[in-house]
Formats: sequence, C-alpha cells, structure tokens
Amino acid sequence: MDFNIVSLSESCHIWRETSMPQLLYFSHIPTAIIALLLGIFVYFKNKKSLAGKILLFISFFFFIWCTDDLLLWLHSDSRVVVFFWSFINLVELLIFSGTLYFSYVFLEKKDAPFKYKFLCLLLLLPMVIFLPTDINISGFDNPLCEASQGPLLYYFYSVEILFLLWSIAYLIKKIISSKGTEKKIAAYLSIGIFLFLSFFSAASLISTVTGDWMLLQYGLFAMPVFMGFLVYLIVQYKAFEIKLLGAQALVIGIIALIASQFFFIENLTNTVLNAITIALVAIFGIWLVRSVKKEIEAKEDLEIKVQERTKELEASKKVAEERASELEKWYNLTIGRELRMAELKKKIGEMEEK
Amino acid sequence: MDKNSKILFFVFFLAALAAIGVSFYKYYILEDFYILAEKSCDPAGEGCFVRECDPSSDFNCPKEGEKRLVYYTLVTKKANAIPKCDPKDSSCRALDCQEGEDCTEVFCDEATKAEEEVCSNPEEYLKGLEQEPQPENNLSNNPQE
Repeated sequence: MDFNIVSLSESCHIWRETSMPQLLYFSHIPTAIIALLLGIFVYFKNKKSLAGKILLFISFFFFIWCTDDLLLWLHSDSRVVVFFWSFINLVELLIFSGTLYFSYVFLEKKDAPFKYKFLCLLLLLPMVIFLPTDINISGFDNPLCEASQGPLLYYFYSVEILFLLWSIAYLIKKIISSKGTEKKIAAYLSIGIFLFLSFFSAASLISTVTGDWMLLQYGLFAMPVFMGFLVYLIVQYKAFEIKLLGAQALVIGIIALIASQFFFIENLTNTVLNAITIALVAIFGIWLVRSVKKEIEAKEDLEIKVQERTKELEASKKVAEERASELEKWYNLTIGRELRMAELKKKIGEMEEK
Repeated sequence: MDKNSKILFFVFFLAALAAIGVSFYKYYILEDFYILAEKSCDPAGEGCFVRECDPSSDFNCPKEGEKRLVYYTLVTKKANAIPKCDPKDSSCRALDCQEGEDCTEVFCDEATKAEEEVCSNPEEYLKGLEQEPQPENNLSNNPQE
C-alpha cells in the first residue's frame, strides 16, 4: 500500500489495524438505526405532533453523529478526519438541545416559548460561526490519527453541561409539580433522558480528557435505553396518541437485538445461524402479534357490545321508570278519587241516618 | 409552531449548513490545515525525541529490543504543501521545511520536550555507538535469542 501523510496516513492505518474497538460496529450501527426507525415510526403515526417531529429531529441527528464518528474511526485520510471532526460537536449539541426541547413539548403538550428557543440557538451560534476556523480545529495530529481541537472545545463542553443541567432541573420540577398519571409519565421520561444525556456526555468528556476514545462507544448504548422508555410510554400511556401493542414492541425489540449481533459476529456459521434465528423469531413474532391482536380485537368487540347492551338497558330502565311514574300518578289519581268517594258516601250515609 | 420560530430555525440551520460547506471547502478541497507529523531524525547530529515503539500495536516495530528506539522530530506543515508521496521513500521530501515555507520543525530540547518525553544527546549517542559490542557478541550475550 502506498502511504502518504495527507490522504492515506500510515499511522491511522496501523492504529486502526491494531487498536480498533471490537464493539465499534455494534455500538454505532444498530443504535443509530433503531433510534432513526423509532423516530420515523412516531412521526408517520402522528404527523401533526410537534413532539413527534422533535423526536425525529433527535434521532436523525443521532444517526448523523454515529455515522460521523464511525467515519472518524475508519478513515486514514487526514482531510476526511478533519472535515468530519469539525462538525461532530455541533451535531452533539443539537441532540442535547433537541432533547431538552422534546421534554418540554412532550410533557407540557405545547410549544416552548420563543425566548427559550432563541436562547438555545444563541448558545449554539458560536459553534456555527467558528466551525470552519482554527478555534475549532487547529490541525491534524498524524501520530495519534485525530484532529487537534482548539479552544472551542471548552465552550462546547460548557454548553453541553449547561443543557444537561437545564434538562435535569426542568424534569425534576415537572415531576414535583405534576400529579397522578402525568407524574408517572414525567418520571419515566426523566429516567430515560437522564440516562441518555448523562452517559453520552460523560463518555464524550472522559474520552477527550483521557484520550481513550474506546470509552465513547459505551455512551451510545444509552440511546436504545431512552428509546425503550419512550416505547414503554407509547404502549402504556398511549403517548403521541399511538396505538402500539406491548407484544408488537417486544417482538420488534427482540428482532432488533438479534439483528444487532451481525455487527460483531465474525464467522460465516454464526452469521447463517443468526439469520435463521431472526427469520424464525420474525415468523413466530408475527404469529404471536396476530393472535394477540385477535384477542384484543375480540375483547374490544365484547367491550363495545357490553357498552351497547348497557346503553339499551339504561334506555329500557328509563322507559320503565317513566311508565312506573305515570302509573303511580294514575294510581294516586284513581285510588285517591275512589277513597274520597268512599269517604263522601260514608258521610252521606251518616247524614241520612241523622 | 409560530412563524417567528420557523424563521429562526430556518436561518440557524441555513447558517449551520453554510458553515459545514465552508469547512468541506477549506479542509477537503483546499487542504488548508496544519498536519503535525513525526519526521525521522539522526540522533548522531541533532537532539531528537525518543520513544520506544510497541510491536503489539505497531506492526512496523522490530521485535529486537535495541532496535525499538525511534528517533524523531516534530514537523508542523500545511497539508496542501505536503507532497502525496510515501515518507519512507528516500526521494520523498514530504516533511522537509523549505525556506520561507509555512512550516516548523521542532527538535527535542529542555524547552520543547514535555515532562514524560526523552531527548537524545548526540554526544552520548556517539559514545554509546563506540562502546557498543559487535553483533556476534551481542547475540551470544542475549539469553532470549
């Protein structure tokens, strides 16, 4: 291989051959795809929902971040590394600010005030202005095969921590102030968001400080956890007004987990066995979901019939009550008259005797 | 979402895309950034940075312990001024700094080295070479070989 320092760095090549993390594909590809698919699913199920749109925005930028980071690990071209490194921090901040915006819109069920949106974008503006400058990327360190980052890195971490604390403060306040089901929804969402943002941020920060970029991949596993909490909210509390069965969500989750094994399996036998397992799980899953759906439809049918019958009975009861009331009136009228006549007859008899 | 917010987001994302576009033009097309690279250095003539390579993480690193020492200087040069040739090729002058060029070569001395870094000393290096036993003796003295 003909190496050169600019477009095919030998240091990067050696580094990748000897030090590439084993879970690189597993941590980046399935997590990005799962997040993006869930974002698309929620958006298309409820296109009018602003929270759905923001979730799609977050999952799209998470996908971009994962792709960008994967390219940084895999490329030996200094120009590619420097270019992709130049905007990865901006993408990370868009994910953080998007998550804060999402929590507000999802829990308050209304758009955030303009002043907060303006403030968030104002905080992000220096990242945009200085993106193609030496303040952001000061060069390329060939022996380490990474971009040398300028003083903008400190600003980036300050803003990231600010967004993290802002999100935590808002969510805690929301949990305290809400009641009943709303409180439960706020609590589940808070756990998911806290785990996602804190792990993602901590992995990124520790990697930069220690220079051990292997740690960065573990932070990505927090995204499926956040998605898991969202799916739970959709199934349990009909969040985003989406009707999703628990069985459907579980089957999709199992298929996604098995499919993600393709990204660390290294031999053909395991690849084939994994493919067969996915096919079988998919078939059984479809069968399971169909039978659960049938049962739920039957249950819903029964509930509708019971409701209709109850309404009919209530209507009959009302009619019967009206009739009873009329009869009572008639009884009072007729029986009262008879009694009165008997009384009068009695009085007439007494008077005749006198 | 209100109209003002839509305008705000539109302007912001347009600016972000423009900045990414400028970044692509600057870094990928113009190659306008500095590259910091290690250039091999002759320890007999200059003060070089010294490190020991690790054969487990560098397949170019020799297995013999004595040959693992790498002598180098640090060169910072604009990527667009570096010819795309293999630095191992003797005719490739990729990291040479020409006069008047935006390029710096840092040799190792007390002022330039970091705490954990080691500098070579040309006098000591030459003295060591003179005292070094012949390769035959060396082989026989080394129990591992």
